[in-house]
Amino acid sequence: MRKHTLRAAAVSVAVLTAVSLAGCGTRSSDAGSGSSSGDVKTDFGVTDDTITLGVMSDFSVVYGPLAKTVYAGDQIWADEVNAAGGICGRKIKFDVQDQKMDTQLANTEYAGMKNDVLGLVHLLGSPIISSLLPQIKADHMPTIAVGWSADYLGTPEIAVLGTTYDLDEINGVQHLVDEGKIHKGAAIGHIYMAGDFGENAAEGAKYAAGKLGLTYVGKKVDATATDISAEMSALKAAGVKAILVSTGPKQTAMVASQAPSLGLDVPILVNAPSYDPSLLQSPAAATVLKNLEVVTSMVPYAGDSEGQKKIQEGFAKVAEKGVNPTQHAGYGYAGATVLGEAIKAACEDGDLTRQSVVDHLRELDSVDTDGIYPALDFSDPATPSSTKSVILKAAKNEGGLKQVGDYFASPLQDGYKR
Amino acid sequence: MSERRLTTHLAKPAAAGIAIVVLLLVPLYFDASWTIIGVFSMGAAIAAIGLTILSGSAGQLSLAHAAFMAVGAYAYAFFAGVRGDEHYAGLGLPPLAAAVLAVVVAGIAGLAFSPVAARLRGFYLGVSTIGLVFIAQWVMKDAARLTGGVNGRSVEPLTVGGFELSGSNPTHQLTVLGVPFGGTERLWYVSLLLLLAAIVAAARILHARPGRALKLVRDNESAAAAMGISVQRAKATAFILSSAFAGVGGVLFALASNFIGSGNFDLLVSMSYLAMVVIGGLGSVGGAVAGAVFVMALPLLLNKFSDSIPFLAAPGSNGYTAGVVAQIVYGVVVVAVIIGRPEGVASFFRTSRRAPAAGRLPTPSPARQTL
Repeated sequence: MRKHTLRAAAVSVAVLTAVSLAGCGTRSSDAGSGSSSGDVKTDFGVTDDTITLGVMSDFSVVYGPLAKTVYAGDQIWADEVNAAGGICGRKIKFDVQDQKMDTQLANTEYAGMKNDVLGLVHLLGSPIISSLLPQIKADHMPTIAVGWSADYLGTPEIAVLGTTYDLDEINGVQHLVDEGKIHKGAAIGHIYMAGDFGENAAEGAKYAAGKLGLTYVGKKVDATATDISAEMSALKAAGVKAILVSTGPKQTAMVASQAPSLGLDVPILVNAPSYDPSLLQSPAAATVLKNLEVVTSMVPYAGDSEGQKKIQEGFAKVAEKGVNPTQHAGYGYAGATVLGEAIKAACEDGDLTRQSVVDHLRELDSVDTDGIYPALDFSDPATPSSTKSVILKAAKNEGGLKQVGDYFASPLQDGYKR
Repeated sequence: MSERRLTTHLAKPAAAGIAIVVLLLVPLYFDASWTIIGVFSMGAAIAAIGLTILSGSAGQLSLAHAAFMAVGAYAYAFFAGVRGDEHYAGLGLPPLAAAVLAVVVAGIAGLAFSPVAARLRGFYLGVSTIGLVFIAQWVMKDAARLTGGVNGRSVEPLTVGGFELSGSNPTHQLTVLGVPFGGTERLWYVSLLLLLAAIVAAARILHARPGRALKLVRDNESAAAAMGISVQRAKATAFILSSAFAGVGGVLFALASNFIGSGNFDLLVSMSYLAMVVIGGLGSVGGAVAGAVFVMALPLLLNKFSDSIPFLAAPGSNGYTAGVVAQIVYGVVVVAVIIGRPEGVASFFRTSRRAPAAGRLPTPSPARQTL
């Protein structure tokens, strides 16, 4: 009996001590909401002299090399903006986190940075974006998603730059037919990877093939597939006259190296993430140079538009040694430009809160990204900011790609619905 | 009762009481970037308790723990999922009922595997459980309506009577002592409650007849059978219990990350659960909790703090970035703990009992027990 009383007493003393300690100073209401700094209204990530933007990317696991060049593009933009006095009289600063494609890590990092950043200028990875989506919506966090999946559309807070994969494929198949590389009644093969990128591309390719009287032969492969010879044999057996590829660069290399040995000397049309300049150092280089084209809405690294020149000049300054330039630096630069335009507009309105930046982002109906993209229209969250594509050809230059022809959009898009 | 007996008797409940109170107060002082680590750790701790019952007390090596967690997580997502959604299948059940059902389903999954478990032991069982992980991975990637395929699927927040206990719905605002309580803070309390329940339940099971039966089956099956213990039943019980705990851990993980994908439940995750119970001390409930917090929180905390270490390479560059260093430090610490404390973290708390009080038998060291 006595023992129990003492136990209870010990516990209650402990509880009382702790509760009384609790009385003094909790972290009651963090600063942020509704304050104002200087002449504009602000909430998160904005002080009198800096605007902090978040970068959450996978620098080390799946998309390491790609993410580093995208981030280089972000930095080139920030250097340019800061040299010109910043936005709203405030310098741009990045809070950079490596989420390693781990949703757990990403959630922790997001919770850590969300009160310190105005928006996310670079968020990469489908699982990461899906996992953070409810919080991004609740926090009204203006976000630039890296990638062109149509799955990212439909959220006012999240901006996707350029043409989504499905529309790229429609344009791409149209291009093959228009160029006379494939004719009505022929079969067209598609190697695409499981997941939103490949499946989104497949939706568009299948639709376009149907409309243009082509037989569509789609083969889904695992994102980590190291052997696609069965799929390639199936394409050979179907007698395809062109191959679409929506996978990682490794599988693109497999397609390009196996096609000649199967007697498939046909055009290979790939999406932007499926290409890497290192393909030109691989045994498949000859086929890549001869047959491979990229369909995307973004210009290559090499070129002489204003934006391309700025990236070429700035790349060496911001990139580590050993990081080779790729087209994707343009995504970082253009993505930051778009968010920057929204912040500028919000500043002119005297309201630099997140909600205001999101609202102004959705008022941008013709953003000029210095020629990296065609004019981008963000007014409708549910539709892509562009519907045009451009054809790039593998070339032995910086970035490994050169532009052939101008931007175009297939009339078939009108009847397309996801 | 002597003075010494009295203090030792009081030490444990007092320590537990203080620990609980401190944990209750954490969300008042630390923001979501800390509490989210706690939520992930507590979820992992519950699942690890399940594994320590199975591998520590019942001596059955399992590498399929992540698969059972996946069953719990996806079952919750399915039961609570919106009915008639265009992408995912869902039953639209109230989330609380969905959570309970999900744990039951995870337990049933464990029962379904128990005929295999009853026929195999040790490493052979371990290898056969790897098969389960591969099957689970395949199902997760292929049953796209149910699991969202390779992309994964989103998870409905937990609500009780219309009140959200997780998620980030801005219209559900709650302020306690001037502190805004968002989804993470609320989930912290849900996790804490479940963790306490799991600790009490596991301790009661292990210290009572079923637990002693499990240990006897582990040490000597024939002796157990001779005592009238049904060996098959004991093994099946262990698998059901362990996978039900895994199911709770899986549901909490799903709620904390709002989204689940096949990558969250792969073989590597199973291995890290094995690491948790080994680091904690096989068979010890407290050890499993400590091991889980260690394995789960350390990399996240290191990652959090490494930002403020000045001499590291900037993220996005090629050098030793904060993330890379966090992984190296984590690896070194794991090895150091295993070498320094082969009996697990639990042994830190046992040293004071090196001279056992009269009337108490020293407990055998778990590390020397064979699997």
